[in-house]
Amino acid sequence: MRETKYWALNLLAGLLILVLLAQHMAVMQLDGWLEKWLADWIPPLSWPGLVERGTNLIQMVSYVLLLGLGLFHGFYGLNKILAEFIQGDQKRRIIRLGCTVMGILLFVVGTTVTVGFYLVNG
Amino acid sequence: MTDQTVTFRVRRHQPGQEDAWQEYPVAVHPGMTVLDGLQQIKEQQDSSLAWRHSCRMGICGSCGMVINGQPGLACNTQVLDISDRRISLEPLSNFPVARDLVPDLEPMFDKHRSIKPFLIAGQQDGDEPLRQSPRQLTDYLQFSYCIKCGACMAACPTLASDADFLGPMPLTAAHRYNRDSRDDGFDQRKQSLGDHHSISHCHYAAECSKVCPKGVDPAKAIQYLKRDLVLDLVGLRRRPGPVPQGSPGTPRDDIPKAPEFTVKKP
Repeated sequence: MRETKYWALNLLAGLLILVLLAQHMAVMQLDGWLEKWLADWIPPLSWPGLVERGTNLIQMVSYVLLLGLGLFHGFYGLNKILAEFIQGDQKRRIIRLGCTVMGILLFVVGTTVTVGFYLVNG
Repeated sequence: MTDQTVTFRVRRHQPGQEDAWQEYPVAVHPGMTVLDGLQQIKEQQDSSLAWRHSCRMGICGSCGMVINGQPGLACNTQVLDISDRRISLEPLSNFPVARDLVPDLEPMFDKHRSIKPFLIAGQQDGDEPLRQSPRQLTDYLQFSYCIKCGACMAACPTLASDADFLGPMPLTAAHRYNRDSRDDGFDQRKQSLGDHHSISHCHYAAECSKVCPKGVDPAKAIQYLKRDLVLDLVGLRRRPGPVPQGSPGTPRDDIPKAPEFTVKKP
């Protein structure tokens, strides 16, 4: 049953990534279009724009969420793909452990940067 | 139509020896199946050739083998429907081989047994017949046509890389019973279905459905199983029942009535 939970979470993560990625893409890619509608629009790639996003609590949380969900979705998929090529439960456990450790490490690094920026500049 | 000659290329396997290909020219005629061809080889050319068969009409599922790279039933495959004049025959992939074209199906049946392929009674009165509406029957009918020939197991790429994967046949059987309105065994089956070597490992290549000689569509059953397990996890799974109780319905006029008892009951 544990596998079913991971798999269901993987599906849910995929759906949430769509929403969060759409928001991220809108902010980053539709700047020219949004500029016409928002009076106080700051270009997203400029330093003030980056600071504004990094010090916004909602933006910070959404980036941490996107990072966590993206890493889980990606490493769960990678683990499944690698499991196709590797025979033996022992080796598969090692692969799974490796994916989990890598995912957690990257999440910690990403979260430290995002939350740290928010705390220092916010 | 005159007879044509087709070369049967058979992969021979003897325990303890390396596999070798052997060729047999066979005179074929319209209506002749691959199984007929094998029978002709055994009678006229090589009595040592081994394969398994029984009904010769696509019902028993005994003569499953890989025909020109595609798993199927030898009795169900017309020789002249194969465009190639050389027919290669191999034992079903993803199974240990007993001899020549005879696979050892025991691993498949062990997995089949593990998903409890039988009706598990729920809460109903002991003496009441288990009634089922035509709609409830349609829910699982397609999946009950499985003849356990093993063609889907041989075609499954996941099973090729993970021998512990349950495989399309047992998973289809699990869905067949889960969808049966008379069954209440989902909670017992979901333990093995939620295992690492089970449905989450299927990545929907759908080769199983392509090769199934009975049109069962195991890939579809697995997708239904995935949906049921996720819905069950979040508490939204709908039980297939309830079993309709009470009146069995109005008898149809076009069905003759049963004859009267000739011996009167006391």
